[in-house]
Amino acid sequence: MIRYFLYRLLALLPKLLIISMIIFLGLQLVPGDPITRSISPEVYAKLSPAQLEEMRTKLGLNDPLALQYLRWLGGVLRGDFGYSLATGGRIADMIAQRLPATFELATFSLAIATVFGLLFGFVSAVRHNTILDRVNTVLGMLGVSVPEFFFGLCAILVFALYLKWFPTGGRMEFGREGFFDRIRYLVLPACCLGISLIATLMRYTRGSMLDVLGKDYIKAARSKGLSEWNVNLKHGLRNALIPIMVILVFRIPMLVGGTVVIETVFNFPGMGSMLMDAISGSDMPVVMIATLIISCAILAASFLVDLFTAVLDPRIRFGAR
Amino acid sequence: MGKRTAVRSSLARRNLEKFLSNRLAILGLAAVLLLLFASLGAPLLTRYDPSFVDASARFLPPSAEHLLGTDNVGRDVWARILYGGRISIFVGLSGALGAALIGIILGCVSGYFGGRADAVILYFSEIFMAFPQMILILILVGFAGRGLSNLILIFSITGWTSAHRIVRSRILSLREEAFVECCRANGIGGLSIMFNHLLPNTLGPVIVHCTLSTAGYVLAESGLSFLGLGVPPSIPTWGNIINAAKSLLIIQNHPVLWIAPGMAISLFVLSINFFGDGLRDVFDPAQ
Repeated sequence: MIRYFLYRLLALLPKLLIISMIIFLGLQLVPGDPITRSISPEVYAKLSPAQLEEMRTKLGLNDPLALQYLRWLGGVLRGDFGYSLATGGRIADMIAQRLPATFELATFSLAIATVFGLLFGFVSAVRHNTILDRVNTVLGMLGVSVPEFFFGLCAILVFALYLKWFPTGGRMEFGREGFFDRIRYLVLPACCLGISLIATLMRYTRGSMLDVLGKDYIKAARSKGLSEWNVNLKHGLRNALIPIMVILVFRIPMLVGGTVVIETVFNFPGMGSMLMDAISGSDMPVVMIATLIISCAILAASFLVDLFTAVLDPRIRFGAR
Repeated sequence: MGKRTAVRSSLARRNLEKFLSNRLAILGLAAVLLLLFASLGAPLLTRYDPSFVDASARFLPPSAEHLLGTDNVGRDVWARILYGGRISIFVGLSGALGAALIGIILGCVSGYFGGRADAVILYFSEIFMAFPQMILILILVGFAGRGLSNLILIFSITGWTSAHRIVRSRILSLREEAFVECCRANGIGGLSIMFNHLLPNTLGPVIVHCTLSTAGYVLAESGLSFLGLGVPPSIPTWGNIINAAKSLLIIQNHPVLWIAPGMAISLFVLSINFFGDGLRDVFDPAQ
């Protein structure tokens, strides 16, 4: 088991390295003087051209690219992401402010989607070919077909403007920043973000459950006289979960990509809206660093789901190289 | 009816019957065609120019004159939706085709040659998949700028991985078949085997994938245009029409402005999805 975990963890490293190289090369393509990315604008304004040249040599901007990359990577690992072109602020500070918000949103949304997706898919499979199943199937198709921002706008119109159950956007009220005060702000964006994932998970859960329920060992379990619940949950769902987990790994990036749109709709101050503002303002250093953080987070999330799958399925654990 | 003999049922015919028996798929195809012809025949269905600004007719409610009212600068919303469909569908379709083309070529190479070429391409596709496609698209838009052709190109560059995986795995199993050996024994070259003999056998799933990803790219285009990063605002697309309705005031007071294009997108994508699912049952029964 531990060997398998270590193997998976080690397999992440080369990927992270390549991603960081791509990001670094992307940063090199940003037009403008590269020195503005490594020192704060106040300092930059005070320096004379000669001093700037000296600074450049000191910062190693005249060194070969490979050396610069290593130095940049070292900085990134220590949390030094450089400076934003638009605001002149440290990117590390911006990220420290925005990352928790998106983390909350994505986790909440993932939790909602997993619970409801599995539930609906499970019900559909157990009540296979009933009206309930048909309704679920059509709703599932709607869930993947309607754009997220359209769900968002509808939710704002109905639940925020007419019913006034939830706020129209933002993350918290000033002065009321406790976790339970923030949940009110999370509900609408998290649900809208999760809808397409609910629909996808539902479809796969239904298919995978039906597949498993047709297997011989389910007949064996039934003929042993186990209760219907016992058969469906312990023998059915547990085995059906493994292919679903694989789908989940593939879908996490889409969920995170969706935060860009949803955070903009709901005015939610997270990584997505930061990325969006940075792209509109051509603030490429912020864009590249945000992308770096997001893709690392996605790799980490897929790693966790992989581990969970291994816990579920002994074949994966012990079949590992 | 029941007189048909086994001799007369060819594969194509059986497939057609299978497709025709799927009511949702037929309905989907009909709706797709309806929307397609409505947007192609836009000049017949409206007499307004979608970009004509009439400052004296802002925010008019729906009426016989303006079927869906007018927007914040007095443009006819019905006309904009009709004409917008052209661009939205075009971008979705060409994005899907472009991505499939790149995926097919790389898939053939990595499936047929295997070995190092395969390993490199596969590794790259894994790296690609570590970035959310939406964010990859956003970065490239940031570098390349907005624009119709840019968008299509970016969709193709970022979306090839799934077609690649489909083609590769099919070819991996097909290349072990006897007919490939037969081709080789007859002295047919690698390229010819790859594209003339193996590729046609993988096309079913690719066509299905292409159909479904058209839906995905229509969604992506609308999302990007909604954010203001897709097609330039001077060209009407379904996403651009909704982009005009970003403020809370418009959301509340003029719901037609954004609900109508939203419904158009949803209807189109839903129909394509039903149609694609029907195709999948026919072409790709293993799924």
